Amino acid sequence: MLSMEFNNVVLPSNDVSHIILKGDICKKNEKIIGPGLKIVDNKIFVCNSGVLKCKDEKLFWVEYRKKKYSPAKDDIVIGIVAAKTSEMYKVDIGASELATLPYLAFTNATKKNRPDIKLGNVIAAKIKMATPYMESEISCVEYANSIILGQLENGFLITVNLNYALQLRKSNSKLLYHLGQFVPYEIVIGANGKIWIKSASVRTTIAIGNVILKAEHLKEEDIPLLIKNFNKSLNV
Amino acid sequence: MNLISDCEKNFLLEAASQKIRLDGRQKDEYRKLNIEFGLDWGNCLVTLGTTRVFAQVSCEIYQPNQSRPNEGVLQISAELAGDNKLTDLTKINQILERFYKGSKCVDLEALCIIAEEKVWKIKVDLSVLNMDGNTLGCCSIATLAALMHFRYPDVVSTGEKVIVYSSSERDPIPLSLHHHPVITSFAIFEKYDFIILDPSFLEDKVCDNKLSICFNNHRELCGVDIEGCACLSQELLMKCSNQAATIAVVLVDKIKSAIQIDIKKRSSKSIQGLEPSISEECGIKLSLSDKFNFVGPLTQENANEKIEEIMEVDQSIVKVTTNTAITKCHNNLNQVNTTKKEQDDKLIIIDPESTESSSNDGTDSDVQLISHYSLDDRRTIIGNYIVSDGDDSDDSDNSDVVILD
Repeated sequence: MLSMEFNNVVLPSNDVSHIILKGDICKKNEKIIGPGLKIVDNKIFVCNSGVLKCKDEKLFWVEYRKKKYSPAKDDIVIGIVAAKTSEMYKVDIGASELATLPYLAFTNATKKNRPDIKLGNVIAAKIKMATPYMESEISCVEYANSIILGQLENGFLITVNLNYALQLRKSNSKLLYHLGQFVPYEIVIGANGKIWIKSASVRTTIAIGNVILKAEHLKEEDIPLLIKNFNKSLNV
Repeated sequence: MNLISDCEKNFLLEAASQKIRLDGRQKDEYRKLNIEFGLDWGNCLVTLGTTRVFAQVSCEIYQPNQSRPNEGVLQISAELAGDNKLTDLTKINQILERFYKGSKCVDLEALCIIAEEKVWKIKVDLSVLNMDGNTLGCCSIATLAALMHFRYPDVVSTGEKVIVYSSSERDPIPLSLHHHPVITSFAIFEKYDFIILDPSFLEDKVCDNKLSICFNNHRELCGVDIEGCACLSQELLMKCSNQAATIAVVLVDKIKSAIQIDIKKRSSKSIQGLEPSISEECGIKLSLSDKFNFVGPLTQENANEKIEEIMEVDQSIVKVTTNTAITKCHNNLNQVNTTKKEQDDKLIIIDPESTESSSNDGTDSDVQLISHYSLDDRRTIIGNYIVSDGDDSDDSDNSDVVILD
């Protein structure tokens, strides 16, 4: 039997209320539970198998290998244009429904100056509105200091699980930094698990994609070895 | 998720133009095939790379068709597990039925119990658990493996009565198969003259043409299906079918050996069924995919081409100047390699003095390259070395010879 602690694996139907609600440091209503946890009859149950995480004794969630994206506001996502209507694009962002992208939701777009985006094009966008009952709305309007949104040309798309995508987006992700020391490349990591990579040649792009896919199940110590391998394969 | 973005499409086409496959396979390389059998007869799980198909054969007593009163019935149906609205498998169903019924691999007459009244109906149910390209090929392997593995109960008809024996009373009988047809799929990129075997999901979606050829283990053609609009030459078809024939033989052998292993396990009563293959550990392995050991695309083809070119250069040099420094150096290299190979040493150290003396000047970098290379890269080093020399050699070849002679 696994001991139920933070940073340990928990399984669905495990009752974790005693570890989340333990201690009287803060009141019950000051604790916030996130994805993977559910309250039933004043008890907190796990509903996805994964690793139980906590932050500041206040936020609790379960990290699990999730592939279906559920939209959340202000996430940067990568989507594929799936359909066009008279006023908006429908974009596949990997969620249960297609997201809508109005023609006017581009930088410098006016009614006459429409963006030139075709079916199948890949775009980076920000989620503007996400409700559980409606299609989520995304926008490509760039604000000051925001990352560049809009169409992504050339390059290649790979899909990873959501958790790993979030890990990569963290600023302390060493992998991307190390890769950049060998090869110049562009990368956009969407919160929906889609990663767009562009580099000078097909070979390097494939190699970068594979390194990213492989590094998911590697320990931090093994990453230098992987990078070494990567560098070797480029120089062949 | 069926949507293929422009990015992926263009990228794949670009890779195809350079004859690179995204997963690092050669163009005629099959993914890893794994065949597992379940507890029941005719129950199998086929894994091809990350494509997974589960097959179950069942039988029932059935009234025969009026047109064929003394023949049993074979029915093959493939379904996508889960949400099957996304992808249409009718095409796959049609092809499978056409190839397997049309080639008459199952002896249907042996399935007749009483003519015009009772025959066996053999039903093959395929459920596609994961689609990652070459679904048709995987389905055909699963169908064949399941049919070869399947046993139906023994039946005795005594004029009026038909007695069906249970497996405990009499051993069930295997189906009699005349031959073993297997479908091999190719994806063709016409523009780049790039034909690949066992396409992955993306390759399958992007390619111009899909060519499925069905061959049996006697290298006999059982059917061809061409999807797409490219025009294929006769030569290409012949080349593909030759390839398909050899692959079919290999695949059938694999299925046979898998069945033998399963039967051995059954006789020693140590069958575990599909449980170990579905367990969590294997699931993770599956999702990691077989490209785990592959980082960069090592296009062996390009490398080979390079080496061939080099060989030509080499020969021309030999023709012009026999017993020159280059050939000597070549010999030296070989000698060093052979001696070092016995010692299992990782580094070749060729005495740099001799090479330096052979090449006049400016090739110091090459010399260094050679002295630091590992054994495995022997051919390419020779290549590199000679090429760099060869570039100069057009002019300075003779001078080289003069100096050394």
